[in-house]
Parts: sequence; structure tokens; C-alpha cells
Amino acid sequence: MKLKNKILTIILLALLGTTACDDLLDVEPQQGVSAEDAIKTADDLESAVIGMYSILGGSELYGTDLVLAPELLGAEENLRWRGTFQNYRELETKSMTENNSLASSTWIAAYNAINQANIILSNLDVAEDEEQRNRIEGEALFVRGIMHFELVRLYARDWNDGDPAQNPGIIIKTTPTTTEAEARTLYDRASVAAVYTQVIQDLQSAKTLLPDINDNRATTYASSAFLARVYLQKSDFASARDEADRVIQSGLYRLNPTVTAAFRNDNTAESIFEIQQNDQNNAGDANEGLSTFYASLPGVGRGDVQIISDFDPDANPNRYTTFDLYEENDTRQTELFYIGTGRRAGRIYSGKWLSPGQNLPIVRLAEMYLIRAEANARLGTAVGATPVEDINEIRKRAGVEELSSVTLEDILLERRLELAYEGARIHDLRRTKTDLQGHDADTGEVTYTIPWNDPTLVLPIPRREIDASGGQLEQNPGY
Amino acid sequence: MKKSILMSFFFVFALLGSVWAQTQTVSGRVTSATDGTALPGVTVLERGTTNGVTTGANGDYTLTVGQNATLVFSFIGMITQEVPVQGRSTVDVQLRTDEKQLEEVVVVGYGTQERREVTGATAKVTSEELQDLPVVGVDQALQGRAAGVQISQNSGTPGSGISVRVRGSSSISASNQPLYVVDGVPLTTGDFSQLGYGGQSVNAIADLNPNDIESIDILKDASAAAIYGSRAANGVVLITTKRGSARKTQINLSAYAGFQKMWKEPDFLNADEYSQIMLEAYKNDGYLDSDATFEDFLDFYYGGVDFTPTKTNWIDEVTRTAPIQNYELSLSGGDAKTRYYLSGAYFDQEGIIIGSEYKRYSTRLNLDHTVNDKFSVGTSIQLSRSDNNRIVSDNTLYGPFANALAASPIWPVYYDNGEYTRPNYFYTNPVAEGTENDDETQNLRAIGNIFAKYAFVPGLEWQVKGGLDVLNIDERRFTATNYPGSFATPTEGSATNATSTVNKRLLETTLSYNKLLNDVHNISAVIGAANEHNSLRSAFVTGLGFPDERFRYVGSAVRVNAGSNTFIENNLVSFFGRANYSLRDRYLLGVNFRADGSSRFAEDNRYGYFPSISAGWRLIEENFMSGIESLSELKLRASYGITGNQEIGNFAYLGLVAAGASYIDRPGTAQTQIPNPDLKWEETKQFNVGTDIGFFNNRVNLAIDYYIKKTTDLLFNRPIPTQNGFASYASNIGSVENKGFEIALNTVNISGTGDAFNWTSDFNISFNRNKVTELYQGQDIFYGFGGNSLVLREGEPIGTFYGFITDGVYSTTDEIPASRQGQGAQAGDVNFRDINNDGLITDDDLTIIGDAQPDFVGGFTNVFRYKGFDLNIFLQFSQGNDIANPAHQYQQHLGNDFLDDNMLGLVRGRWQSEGDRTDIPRATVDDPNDNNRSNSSRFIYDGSYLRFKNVILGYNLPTSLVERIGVRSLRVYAQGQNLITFTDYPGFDPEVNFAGTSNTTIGVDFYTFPQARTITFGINLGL
Repeated sequence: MKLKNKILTIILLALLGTTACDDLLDVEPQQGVSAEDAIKTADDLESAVIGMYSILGGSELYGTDLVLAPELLGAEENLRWRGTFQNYRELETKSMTENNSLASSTWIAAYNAINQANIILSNLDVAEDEEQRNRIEGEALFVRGIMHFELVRLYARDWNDGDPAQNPGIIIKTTPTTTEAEARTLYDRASVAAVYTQVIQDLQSAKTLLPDINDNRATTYASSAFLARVYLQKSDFASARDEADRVIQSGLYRLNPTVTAAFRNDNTAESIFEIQQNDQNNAGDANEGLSTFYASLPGVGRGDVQIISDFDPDANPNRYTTFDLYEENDTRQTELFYIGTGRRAGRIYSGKWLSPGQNLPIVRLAEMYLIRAEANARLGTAVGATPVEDINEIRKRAGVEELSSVTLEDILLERRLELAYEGARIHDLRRTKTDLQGHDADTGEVTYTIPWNDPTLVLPIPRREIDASGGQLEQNPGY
Repeated sequence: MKKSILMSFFFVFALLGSVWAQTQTVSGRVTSATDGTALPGVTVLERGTTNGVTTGANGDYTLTVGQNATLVFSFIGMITQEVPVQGRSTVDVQLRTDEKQLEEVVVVGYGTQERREVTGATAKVTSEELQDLPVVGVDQALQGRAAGVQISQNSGTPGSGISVRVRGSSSISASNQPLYVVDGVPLTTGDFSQLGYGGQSVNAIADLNPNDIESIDILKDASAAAIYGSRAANGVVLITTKRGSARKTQINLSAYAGFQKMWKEPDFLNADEYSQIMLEAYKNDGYLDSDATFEDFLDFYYGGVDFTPTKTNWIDEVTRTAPIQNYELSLSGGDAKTRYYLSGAYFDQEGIIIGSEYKRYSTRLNLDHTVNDKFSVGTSIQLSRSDNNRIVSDNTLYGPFANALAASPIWPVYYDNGEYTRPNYFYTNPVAEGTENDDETQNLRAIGNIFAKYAFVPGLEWQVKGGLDVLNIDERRFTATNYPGSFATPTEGSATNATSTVNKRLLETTLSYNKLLNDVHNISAVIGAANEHNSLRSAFVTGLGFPDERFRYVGSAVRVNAGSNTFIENNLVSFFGRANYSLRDRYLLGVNFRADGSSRFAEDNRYGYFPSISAGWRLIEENFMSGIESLSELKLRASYGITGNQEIGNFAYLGLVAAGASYIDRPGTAQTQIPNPDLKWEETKQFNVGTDIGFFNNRVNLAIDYYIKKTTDLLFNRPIPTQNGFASYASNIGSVENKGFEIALNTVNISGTGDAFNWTSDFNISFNRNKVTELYQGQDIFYGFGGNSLVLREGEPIGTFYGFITDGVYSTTDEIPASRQGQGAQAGDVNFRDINNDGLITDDDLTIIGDAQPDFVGGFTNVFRYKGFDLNIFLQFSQGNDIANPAHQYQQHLGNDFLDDNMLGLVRGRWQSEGDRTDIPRATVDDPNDNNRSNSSRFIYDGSYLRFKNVILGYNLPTSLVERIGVRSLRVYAQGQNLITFTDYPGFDPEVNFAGTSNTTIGVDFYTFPQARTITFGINLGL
């Protein structure tokens, strides 16, 4: 009997010993916090804002792809993709499939940024200081606006292509997702016109909420600059002109003395909105990042994006590459191109993206002059300045002769030369209804033409999105 | 918890009694009943006490005992005898051999069983099979030894991770490696390195010295493994280390040394052939005129070169004949009260690629102490340190081996001034990568446990065990800048120091009961509870900017630019039990159960329950079998049970907001994960049926098993529409099935004792069929090079290769359909198969082009003994598995894409002019037909092989001879590993995977460090 009691005691002790430790199973993560507790104070909210910019600077967005993809799509007259990455090659050769990984990763990242903005917007009340709250709201609306804009101009038909009120745009997302159930909600594509309306609404609100200066982040003028782009893209020239004029008239910005300054220095006087990078925080230096693809320098870059030129323009009257179109002594050619010395050396490379840690200017004052000039010219107005004055501002700085008069073609050419390799090209081709032409390298003769509204110039809605929506999401034509 | 365990200890001590009595002296001699020889080392114990001695060299003993004492004589393999002293001063005893005890004992979860009682599917590997093998870790040594266990070494990297698949791959995103349990304590396994080295991981199992291992038991089916519950889905490997026994101290000294060499060097082009083909490609595409010379090519391609083109064999430059050596000293012995095993070992393996080396220093102490006949305590402790010089490998631009395969043969290693060249546009100098950089990983490891056992009555035993496994990894990397293209060049040198400490604590208590009732009912049962706590603390710091190569530590850096420090933990609370019942040794029944609570899951799903049941019928014991003399065993077994897999990361169920999203050097946060409170374990249901058959008094043993293993609720990142901000969340979707046959056959072909000829064979073969049976909405999952060179598809196995089928090369232009010419195809281009017959080659023509799963794998061991000689030949084989080698798009580039890599010799047979019939396309730079797309059947190869894995020829010096020099035994041997390999695979080694131990990327070769042929010479000395 006594033995039995002993045994029972032992067993009880043994089992009790462990059951008492059930709280062992409540382990808290140390590297992350539970989403419900994430934003409780104004400081938490500020951290989330920083996190939002961090997403913007990622390689899928302004860190690489939003700048590189529009140039690759316009490759015929600019550049040649020599890299091994299939996704970029498909953009260059207009042979994208719906599985293109850039199409997929850029879509995901842009909506990630939008979600972060929406999370911030839904937690604004933790910031008690009104000034701070307005600024944060403005920054979130700014990011939400520009992301919708980048998506609609890459993944949908251009505003000028058919009826924007009918053409499918992208999904408009203005509510946050924090739970599994919300994550499974399905949405349809809104029309192109509806997306532009949302973009303009967000950016106009941001414009009123944001301060003039904001620690190299979004400002009221960055909002105006993007609004100028948005209006230009939808051929609302008067609004584009006025927003560009507002930025120029602010007096906060001026053109740098040299064409290289914006790409060699951080946050120059010319820069309106710039992605901040340094050696530690950047989009990448191995398989991602603008310098990774554009540069061919010792230890920097893969030399994947080669600038095309027929080298002997005199023998060939049909100049067609951007490189060959610069006038003699144009510092934008002499200073912003070089012969590669790193990987795939010996060929021409763009001098705008040379270092993995450099800041990435996304909107520069020069573009505002160009927008104002184009809009004034198209409208026959001279708001702020005449078109020729604005164009001469740009030319003077580049070290080429000033013009006495300009045509719309002159303005568009100047724009192409000034903004080369900064991610404007395919958007300009599409809005100006300019067909893309393939040329014979020796004679410069046109060998094929891709119409400006060709479906191959529009990114596919990623296959995974269509699958994940159970087929509900509409694919673009041609995929 | 601590408190209650302490109380238990007090309780146990309170039970301890001591025995005092009057004494007398008794002496005597113990001999063998068989031949009358003296038996040294026999334990002589006074019954009911710890008073005892062991017999000396002549079998003599002397012991002081109490009045009315009874002596217990015990010796391994002999029947224990109890002899009452009855006042005598001399007690001589003859011990008889115990036929029954010689039967194999099988280690099962929380206990042991005799082989004939086992109803589950298990495999056993003993130390004899592992000895003399030049291996780093125990997993490597197990290869080919057990049916149903497929082990792939993946690469020749010393100390690297090894894929172990017990009955196939059961998971896509959680772990597929089995649970390792060393002396009852789960072992920390896996790769905790923080620095990238390409595909090959480090292997925490390598810290365990394989020569300390007594036996390894692999639990394959659910009935055997279910007692390990949520971690048992991939099988359980139970490792038992050597312990001392009550006998005279035995000293064993063993040493081997030898060398390793590449066993096969594929044919690469020499410099002349290379130059010719490059020139041809650039001429073909009009980059160079038809009369251009190689000089013109150099001008065009490199803009002229600043060296005289030479003929470098880069593979020779980075490979070497590398030494391997191992020295070990062990002592074991003890007396009736205290037994010990103590060892110290040093292992050193240089890799055959420059810059790689693995060294291990280890020591083990296993100690058992019997306090009295009820209470005993013990410990097992291993301390080890390993120094691993690693090299970057596989998918890299900075690895000595990869870069050597890519380097152009016309480049010298050094310029005339002694500086390194850069012999490839993309790849740096391979010799520099292997020579100039520091890549050191140092592991400090302590694995130990301590236990106390108390027997209330014979058969009822309580045990408390505490276990600890601490692994500290210290890694240092310095990347020099004294060679062109170093990735540290832009930052003027880079150094990183990273440390990780992985901690596992276990506290466990078990109560076991064994009883034979009325000689017919045999009952054994165990119940227990355990807490396990795991944590990982890691930190690293990186510095950039070094004055020159003499300064190699972060302390000398201009900028300390990155650092991190993290801590994560997870815990497991478990209750488990097992009961076995056998009736007349004839009808067997087993039940296992485990409940695991894991911190990795949300509150409602925290506990998982894993039951199993098994039954056996030993027909051999039935009366109706008694006439069949040739049969010595006939048993049927069947089992069914459920196991789990919880290796999914620690907080997958939570919605998380993480820091680290910094911008303008300011800290930011971003939501990184959405929650799924329903997340739970992967669940594997396994059915097993098998039979054990013995013939001719067990000279022939055959075990056959058939199993069906279905894993459901796969942990999977379910894709969701990303307009919601996230691409996926962790959930349980999908299932995988493995089913197959295993056969193990052991035979004594010629039975000779003593000096007579003796020949035994062990053969095992496994046929596993792996199949993905369910995926999220039936959607394929593509991955691998190019994003779609591998596919997970319902109905197909894991490791299915995807791509274009190639039907040779167009011989003439006329053969090419116009539509394909429109896509750029010319004569000499690859004829990709137009699967959908639309006249064009597009992604719609992608299809399944192979799979990495073998039809069968196995091993075949033959041991021959004659006089003092023994010859052990171990063959290992794999049949029907494909290998994808996407690196061949570069190694057969033929000028494509402006590459300047060297090429394989088989491009000599390329298409050169209209009408040529060959499978190798033309040389072209622009390659409009995209001949070299990596995902084509052109680069899929049959990976079957048969390999003489180990051949050991040994000689035991005659006892009479060695005893004269005071030695117990002396053996010398020569060993050859990977001596001969039969394979059609044209790469370096068919046993390969660039992605290391990956679950889903298997059988892919991409610049992977090949295995070596190893010749060693060894000596085993017993004192």
C-alpha cells in the first residue's frame, strides 16, 4: 500500500511539473511586434511613415524598376539590354508574358506601399499635434497618389488611347488590410479615368496638407510636381502648366550649375523629390539597383544597359538614338556618358547612375521647365515664361547654344535629351502618340514600327494576381 | 517546474537506504562453460548492494561480502548466475553463453525492445558498420546503410549540410530532415550561419564525433516515430553513444590519414580550341570579318589585352590533392558501481578546392554510477570545437571553383608584375578568391545530459533527465581588394564578424514498467512529460574600408557600417506514452501517443495529438509452423499512426510589424505579415505493413516493408491578391504522398569461425514514389533558375524539371518551318519542340522534362574475412533520377551573350556548316533562337549511378603476436572512398545539389564543389 502511494506521488509530481509550465508556450517575438500593437503613439506613426518611404525606395519601385522599365520599353531608340535577367530582356524585346517577374514584383510593392499609406491614414488620430497630423496625412496621401499613378500608366492603356472612362485601369485601394479576411477581399479594376480622379484627389489633398520643406521627404511642391506629371499624361495642359509654374515660382528650387550635379550630390537645389540612399540603405548593388544595371565601372555595375549609338553619325544621316541626337559639346552628352571600364567594358554607358549609394532624383526642376514650356506651347500661352525662355534655361545649363524660337518638336526633343534614362521615355511616347521605331544599325533606316498604343507596351496584370482572384481580375489585351 | 523537480529529488534521496552487516572474504575463478577458458572482466556483485568487483586477467576475483550474501556474476553475452556464498571462502563459477541476449536490441523512443518484439518499421546501424570511414558526420556515414533512408551528400564541401530523407520528401516549405535524438535529447540541427556561401550550408550534426557512436536506430513508420509527435513526420534518428561496462579498462587508439583527389575532371576546352570557337562565334554574327584573327577578337572584345595570351588550366589551379586525417584515443571500463567511456579526437579534412578545410576537436565523457540496486545516475557529455574554412560555392560570382570553371583559358593567373588578372568579365580570379579572403567559421558545441533512475520494484523505473545542447557559431569574413573585381573593391575592403548562439534545454521525466506475467503476458509501458526550450541569439557587425590587406578585422575598418542583434525562442511542452503487449511472444500490440504544445502556433491550435497503433504476429511461434525447420523467424507487422511537422519558423501565425524599414538613416516600421490564427502543424498519416523472415537459424534475414505516407495541411504561403498589400500569408494548404517498398536482406553466405573463410552480405533497396497530391486551387508553383525551371504540380513529384524539349539541332535551313525562321531560327540552331503546334516557340511550349526523384536507391555491403584479413566492399546506388545542370548554358555558351567563359569539350561537336548533323548548336553571339536557354532538356541528364562508396581492406595481427608486445589487438587497414563510380552524368559528380539541403530544389548542379576520391590508411590499437 505504501509503495502504491509513493508511485502515485511520483507520477503526480512528474505530470504537475510540466503542466505548470503552460505559460512557456506564450512566446513573444523580439524582432517584430504584433500588428494590433504596432501604432499606439505619434512616434509609432512616424516610424510607419519612414517605413513607407523605405518601401518606395525598394528596387521594385523607384529604387530600380519604375525608372528602368520605361526606358527598356523604349529601348529601340535608347539602349540595349545585355544582361542575363530574362524579365528585363522581355521588356526590351516587348515579349513580356503574364509571368514576367518585374510586372509581378512592382505590382506587389506598389500595393504594399499603398497599404502602408492606408494603415497610416487609418491611425492618424494617435497624433495629437495638428501640424504633425496634417503632415503625416499629406505624406500618406502623396504616396498613395503617386503609386496609383505609376501603376495606371504602366499597367493600363494610356489616357489618350480610347475612352479612359471605359478602359480598365488598376485597382483603387483606399482602405488598409491588417487581417486575413481583409486580405482575401477581391476588387475589380477601376476605369483609367477613375484612377486618375483618385490620384488627383490624393495629390491635391497632399498639396494642401504638406509643408514647403520636409526633411527631404514629400512636400507640397513635390505634390505639385507629380500633379504636373499627372495632368501632362492626361493632356490637361493648363493644369499641368499651372502646377509646374507653382513649383518654379516657389523660388525654393533652382537649376544646378552643371548637368551632373543632381546625380553626384544629394538633395541638390534642383531636386524636388528624391529617394534617399547611402552605402547601407540602398536598392542594391548586386542584382538590384540602378547603378547595378546601368554602370560599368571597376567593382560597380553589371554593364547590362548599354547605350546605343552608330558611332559614326556623319556617315549616317538618319540619326535616331538619343545619344547621337545631342548637339556637339552638349555637356549632357560629354559629361553624362562614358566608356565602360568595369563589366562589359568598352561600350557606352549612362553617367546618371554610377553608385549604389547615390540618391535617386525622381523629380527635378528641369522637368518643371519642360512641362511648363510644352504646355504653354500647346496652349499658346506664356504663363510664368515663354516656352523659348524655359527651354533656353535648360540649354544654357547644358552648355549648348540658346534658341531664338522653339517648336513643339524642339521642346519634346529637349525633354528627351534632358530626361534621358530617368524613366520618362515610354510614358512620353505614349502620351504624344509617337510610334516606336526599330532601325537598321548601319543605315538608320526604319525596319519595323511598334504603334504607340500597342498592347506589348503595357505591362501584364501579373498572372499570380489573376490566379489569386480566382480569375476575376481582367487581363490586359495581348496576354 | 524547477521547484517540483527539486522536490522529486528530495523524495528520491529520502528513499535511499543503506545496508550494513558483518563481513567475510570470498574468492574464486570464473570460466567459460563452453571451453573452460578464463573470463576476465566479469562483474561480481553482492546481491542487493553496490559492493562488487570485476574479474582479473585469469578470471580471478576476491570480494568481501556480508553473511548470507548471494553473488551475482554477470558478463555481456552470458547468462547471469546467482550463487549463495553459504559461508564458503571459494566460489568458482562457469558462465554459459546466452543465445537470447545475443539477439539484437533495438532502441525505440524512450526505451529499448528486442528485435523480435518490434512491430514498427525501424532500421539499425551499428558502430561496426561506421568504423574506419573517413567521414565528418554521422549522417554522411549512414548513406546507403538503411533501407528507406535516402541520403544525398549534395557536394564535396567539408562539413557541409547533407540531405537525409526518410521515406521521401513530405514537405514543401517546412523541414524535410529527420529529428535527431542523441542519448534521449533532441539534437540541434541545421544551418545557423549568417553569412552567405552559395548553396552549401553548414551542418550542426557534424559537431558530433561519429566514432563515439555505438548505434543508430532510425524510426521510419508512424508507430515507431509517433512518440516524437510534432517533429517525427520525417522520421527519427536515435543515436546512442558508447558507454563503459564493468570490466578492465580498455584503451583504444585509432588513427587514419590519407588524401583526397578529384575523381573525375570533365573535359574542358584548351586555350587553342577556346580561341577558335570564340572567333567563330564573332565571325558568324558579323562582329568580326571572316579573315579576322584571334588578335582581332581580343581587340574587339577586351579592347586589347595587356598580357600574352596563355594556356591556363584553371581547374588545376584551384584543386589540389588534399590531406585528411583523424586521431582518436578512447578509454572505457569501470566496475560494478561506476562505468565510464572517455574519448578525445582530432579530425582534419582539407577540401580538394583551395581555401576549404574542416577541423574538429572533440571529447566525450559518458559516466554511469550505480548508487544502489534501486538508484543510479549518469551523464553523457560531449564538448567539441570545429574550425571550418569555407569557400563560396555554387550560385556565385565569387567562388574559387565556380570561377575556375568560368575563367577563360587564355588568361594567365597573374600578370607579369605578380598581380592577379580578372580572367572573365563577370567572374573574378578564382585563385584570388580561394587565397586572399578569410572565411572562418568556428563552432563551439556542448551536448550533454544528466539523468537519475530509480527502480521502485524490479520492472518499475522512474527517470528524470536534463539535457542541454549549446552551439556557438563564430564567423569571420574578410574580403580583400588586392584582386580586380573583388566585391569589396568599391568599399575598400569588407570584414564581418557574426556570432550565433543556439540553445536547447530539455527537462524530461519518464516512468517505465516492464513485467512478464505467468510467462505468457509481456507488458512494457512508459509514460512521460517533457519541456523543451529553444533559443537563438545572433549578432553581426560589418566594417568597410581597410588600409590594406594586413588589416583584416572589423576593428581596423574606417566605417563600421552595419550590425544586427536578434533573439528568438520557441518552446515545446509534451506528454507522451507507449505501451506494448505481447502474448506468448506470438501476438504483439503496440500503442504510442504524444501530445505536443508548441509556441509556434496560435492559442487555439497550440496542442497537437499524435497517436499510433501497431500489431505483429510471429507465425513462427505457432504450432502449425513447427515442422518448417528452415524458417527461423516469420513475423507480420502492420501499423498506422499520425506524426507532425512544426518546422515553420517561429511566428508565422502572427500579424507582424517589423522594424528595419529604415530611410534617411531613420528607423521605420512596416507591416510584414498578416496573421493566421488557424495555422497548425503539417500532419502525416502513415500506414505500414511489413514482414520479417529468417531462414536457416537466422543466417538469412529478410525484411520487407510497404508504406503509404500522406502529408496534409502543408505549410504554405497562400497567395492572395496583392492590392491588399501582401502577396501571401502562412496557411495549411496542400498535400504530398510518399509510398513505396523497402527490402533489407542480410545473409551469412559462408559461415566460418575463427580463421576460416567467412562472407556476409547486407543488401538494401528502397523504391519510393513521391507525388504532390494537392496544391492551392490546383495551381502549379514554378521556381528555380529563370523562375520556371522547376515546378510543383499535382500528380508530379517534388523536384520536377520544367522547360523546353529539344529535338537536336536543325541540320539545314530547309528543315526549319517558316514560322520558326521568323522567330530567328537558323540552321545550326536548337530545335525546340513546339508542344502546342502553333508554329512558334513560346512559354506555352514549356513542359515537364524530367525529375530528380530516383526509381530506387540502395546499398550493398559484402564483408569477407579470412585468417586475420577482412575486406569490406560497400556499394551504393541510385537509379532513374535526373540532374539538371543549368550551368551548361554557360559552359556550352558558344559565344552567346558576349560571354567569355570557358566551355566543355563537347562543344567541339557543334554545328558548323549546312548539313552538319549534331546535337550541339552553332557558335553565335546574338543567338536569336535563344539556343542556350537554361531550362531545356538539353541540360537534363540521367543521374543514375553505382558507386564503390567504400572499400576497406584490413588485417588483424594475430593475438599471439601482439600480446607479446603487450597489446590487446592491432589492426591496420587501407580504405578507399568513391573508388569507382559508374554514371553517364557528364558533370563532376552525380551526387549533387547546388541548393544544398533544400526541400524542393533537388538534383540541380550549378558550379557545385564535387566530391573527392579519398584514400586513407589507418591503424586501430587496443591496449
